[in-house]
Amino acid sequence: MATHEAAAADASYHAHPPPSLNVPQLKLAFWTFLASECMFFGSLIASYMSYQGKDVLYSQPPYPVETFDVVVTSISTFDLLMSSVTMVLALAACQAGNVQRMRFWLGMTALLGIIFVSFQGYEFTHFYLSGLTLQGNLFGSTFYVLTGLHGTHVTIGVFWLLTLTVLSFIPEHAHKVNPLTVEVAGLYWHFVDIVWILIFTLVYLLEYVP
Amino acid sequence: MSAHDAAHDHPSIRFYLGIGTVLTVATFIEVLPLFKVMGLSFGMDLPAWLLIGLSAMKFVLVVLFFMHLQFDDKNYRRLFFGGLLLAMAMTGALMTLFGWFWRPADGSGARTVAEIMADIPRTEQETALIIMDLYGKKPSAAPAHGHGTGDDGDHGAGDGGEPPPEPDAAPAIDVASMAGDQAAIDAGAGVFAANCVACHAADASGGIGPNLKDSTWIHGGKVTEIHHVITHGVAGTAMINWAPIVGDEGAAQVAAYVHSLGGGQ
Repeated sequence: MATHEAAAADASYHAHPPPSLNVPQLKLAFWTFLASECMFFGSLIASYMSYQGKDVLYSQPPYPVETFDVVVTSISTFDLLMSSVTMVLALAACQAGNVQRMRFWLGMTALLGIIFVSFQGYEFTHFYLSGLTLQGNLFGSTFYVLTGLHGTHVTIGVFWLLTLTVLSFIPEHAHKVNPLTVEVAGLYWHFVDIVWILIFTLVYLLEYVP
Repeated sequence: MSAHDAAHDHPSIRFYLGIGTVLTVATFIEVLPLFKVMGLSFGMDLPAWLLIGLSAMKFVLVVLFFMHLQFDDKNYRRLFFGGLLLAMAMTGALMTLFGWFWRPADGSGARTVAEIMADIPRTEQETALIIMDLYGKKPSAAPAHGHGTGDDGDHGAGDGGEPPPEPDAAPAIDVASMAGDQAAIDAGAGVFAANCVACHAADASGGIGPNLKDSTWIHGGKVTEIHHVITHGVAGTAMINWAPIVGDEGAAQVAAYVHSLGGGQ
């Protein structure tokens, strides 16, 4: 009898596991992933900062200030910041049940993301043509790896947002676009934004401090 | 009650737009130095602490309000800020390990690579460039140091008009016979002073490279063995093949000079 109950409880556990820490498991898992992403970008930022000005063996141009086109980077920074605003508006629309508005803001967020990645493509081309290469000097290797992997994150986010938008149009998949999944996509998007907030200050702005 | 919960769980759109405005203003302040670079009158320099502070404020605003950590379950907060603190500690530790915070003890500011290079005497700077070439690319066209001193009688075979032999070919110069030849030793001292002192010191007592005056010879103390090191280098060290730089004759003269320093005899 007791064994039977325990077996039933066990079967129930596997069919419907209780939420960990009484929160949705998807969100908990995603915050854990973001915590590990902190280490990922932390190590890349640490490498960039550690090698800053330490380029003795390959002490050769181009150097940061003469390479950067900060006006372009400032515009793309603002663009990414605004994409976080459109992302929360998409989530708010989703939570309010307004599918039309959610699609609009998800699309806007993806568009701003595409603009950011395009700016980065322009920037990388411009830098490469001015002599900054991936393996030419330490500034080049640390800069391209750090900002390139950030741009990769943005690109993945764009695909994610576009996928959600498309799914919302397909009746049999529309239920997958719900407040929880949109919120998790938003968490990823905002995280990519806050990483850029740090990169913009540490890599670009601090070069201009007298 | 439910209205309150809803407001608590999902901040209003106005609230989001308010945060967005704060973020925009903070970004505008951050780029004031860039406006100065562009030559606009309202541009101004900002101290590093203010830039970092504004950046941290934007970071926290997005995390707390756009990512809802302020309103959400506290376990998310613990999880994320735990990872963030670890990442910050690791970043700080790595920057410390690499000497990012290092400042000279005399209180002067950290110097740029260019300033450090400018302080290095010229011959050592040239040596540093050679070492760079070792780690980076093939040595660039080596400057030919023509040492005209003591040409007479130094050629063992005496074929003055011949082109220089291939690097791997047997040396046309009889190195062994130059041991003790005062003219070769004097000429070698000049070549040594011009090329070797950066690593082996002016009195050959060593520095980056080993001491050449003592009785310890890592690769043998015979004049031919010394000559071999000079003309082949030592793999894995800054000692390169110097023959293309000092010439075959110079290499033989330096070998004679180093041999004469007494350590190996």
